[in-house]
Amino acid sequence: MTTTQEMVTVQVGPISTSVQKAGSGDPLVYLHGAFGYKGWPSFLDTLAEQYTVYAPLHPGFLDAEGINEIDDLLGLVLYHQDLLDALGLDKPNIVGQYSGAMVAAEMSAICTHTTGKLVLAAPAGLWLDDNPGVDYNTTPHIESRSILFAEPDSEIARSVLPDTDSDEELGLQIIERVQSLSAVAKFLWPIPEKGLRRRAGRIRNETLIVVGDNDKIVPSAHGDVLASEIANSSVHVMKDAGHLFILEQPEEFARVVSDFLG
Amino acid sequence: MKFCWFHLMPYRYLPEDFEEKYRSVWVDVPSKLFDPIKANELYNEYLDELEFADEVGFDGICVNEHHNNAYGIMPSPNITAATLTRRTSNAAIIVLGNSLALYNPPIRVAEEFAMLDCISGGRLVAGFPVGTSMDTNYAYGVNPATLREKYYEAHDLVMKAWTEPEPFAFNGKHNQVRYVNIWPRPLQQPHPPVWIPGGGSVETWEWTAEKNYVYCYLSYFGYKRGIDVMNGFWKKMEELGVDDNPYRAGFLQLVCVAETDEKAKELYEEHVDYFYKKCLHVYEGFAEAPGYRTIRTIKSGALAQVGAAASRFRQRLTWEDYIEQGYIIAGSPETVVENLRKAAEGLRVGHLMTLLQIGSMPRDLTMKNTEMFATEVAPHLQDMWDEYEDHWWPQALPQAERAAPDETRVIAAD
Repeated sequence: MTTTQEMVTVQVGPISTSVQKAGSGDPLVYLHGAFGYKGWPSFLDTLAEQYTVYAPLHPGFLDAEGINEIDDLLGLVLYHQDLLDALGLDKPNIVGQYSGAMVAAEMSAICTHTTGKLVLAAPAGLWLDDNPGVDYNTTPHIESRSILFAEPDSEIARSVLPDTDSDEELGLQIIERVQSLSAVAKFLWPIPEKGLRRRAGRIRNETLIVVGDNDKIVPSAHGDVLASEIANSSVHVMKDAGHLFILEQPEEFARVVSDFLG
Repeated sequence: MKFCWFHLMPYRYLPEDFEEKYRSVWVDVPSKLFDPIKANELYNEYLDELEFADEVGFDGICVNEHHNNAYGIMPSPNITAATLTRRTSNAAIIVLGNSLALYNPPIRVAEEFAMLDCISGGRLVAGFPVGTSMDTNYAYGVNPATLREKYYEAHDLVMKAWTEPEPFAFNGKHNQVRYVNIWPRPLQQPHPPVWIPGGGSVETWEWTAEKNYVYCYLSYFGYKRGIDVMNGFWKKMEELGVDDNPYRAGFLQLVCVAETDEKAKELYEEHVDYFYKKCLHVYEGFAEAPGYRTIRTIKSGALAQVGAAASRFRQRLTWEDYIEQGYIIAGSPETVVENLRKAAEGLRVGHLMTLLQIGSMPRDLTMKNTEMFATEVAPHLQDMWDEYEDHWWPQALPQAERAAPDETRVIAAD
């Protein structure tokens, strides 16, 4: 079933933020990551059957303003906290992907009573010397699909990063990529470990960490390490899954999330 | 016209199959390829060449900063410049420059430049590049999203440290220092001339105009492509109501001089090839970290000089292509004079930075190129722009008043 989304605009301090909203029920917030953030991912349709889903666009992405108003990770966490307040949400469940998962974890570690259950999909935030994951910032744009998807030539992979013969279209894709990666890099450069490992012990939320067994950016080993720091957590490993398993396996991911949220 | 002699200090001993075996000459080029014994020879050779440029009459000698880089083994240009202050006596010492956002705190730059200015008797030009993405974001880990604001803040701190005679506090976003109070101060007052090397971004043009600094376009693409960029620069100056004094600008050009055009090819071709095919073999993914350039600059269409497409393209270039497309100006003195005049007029630059040691070029050939340029090329062009005053040249103490190494002192051997 597909849902109809409504676009809500909220003022968060000096930043005006657009939020897609759909469904009904308890609130659930989806925080996207560095890739695959455009539009409305289909796994949210399933979740919208049970929850009121809110999907904000991160400052700096596409036409979202405000990246220059946020200086550092603490500023980013406070912005998201204020965003929950602006939306009038009390302890919403949060599903985050990559940098969005890192924000969800940091929010829960820093402001321990404001978030509900957490689903951290392919979470950023750790650095393992022997298994850091590929440096996607240095992967040329035209090779991106190979590091993001288990099947880089699948229909979904091609819809997220379409092939093009047009220089103009390629130029627009590259500008969009620079904008989004820059907005993420501002908080993750040059190594994404910014203290989460030390703070994760403060997370009291019931937490599910979901990793892909073939994720080249966040190797699945990161899931176990993060889980070892969060008391009330478990790990689910997606099979034949690349970094963007939320898009490649939407039904399976939605099922895993629904089962966890109960 | 001012002639400046620019050294990149390339490592001359990269393996024959370097560009097939390794993806990049920069950032992740393994340092196992670096032989320190050979470097002992190279550094001394390169310093000799810079000193020789002073002896044969070049107006300035230029050094610059790169990191993790096999074509520029000069991570600290201030060390090079320090040796030159003692071993040269006339040339301006042009450090192009210190990448301000890499110094913590950047007061270090204010201090070291002030030392160089005092030791040299006021011969320093202070260059402040943002630094390439390879140097700053990848080699030194500086965040691309905040690199430029960090750079501008560091600039403000350095300028204030140079010009404020009393201790002061600096409460910046990236630097907080309770007591800024540098010893020494620069000899040139209020401060040494400032030159800004850049890659063609609109923001930098606006900023250099506002600050009344020299803009140096350091391109390896040569003057024919450079003319397009510099046209943009001069158009912007006009828009901003800034005069068109050619000494506001500098440009880097590779030059090879020999007795005849044929002889130039015979002598220099392999070294120019080494430069374009090995030294500029940079992995595309390192060319530009996300956020390094502003969206505005990317949209303005400024090209990156490195990257896969540029690298593949250069692998096919021949000596004739290099000349035809203006990458190099090469040939007999007559040929070089004619083309350099065209270049300087087209670019409208008063500070011509020549690259006369290129790629794998050995000492003898570099000396020959340098001497021929000084004696048979420069004299024909030095009166260009005579009608303009160079307000951006160092104001050194008169030679007679300047301290120099004590040549009479003899250290007795045992």
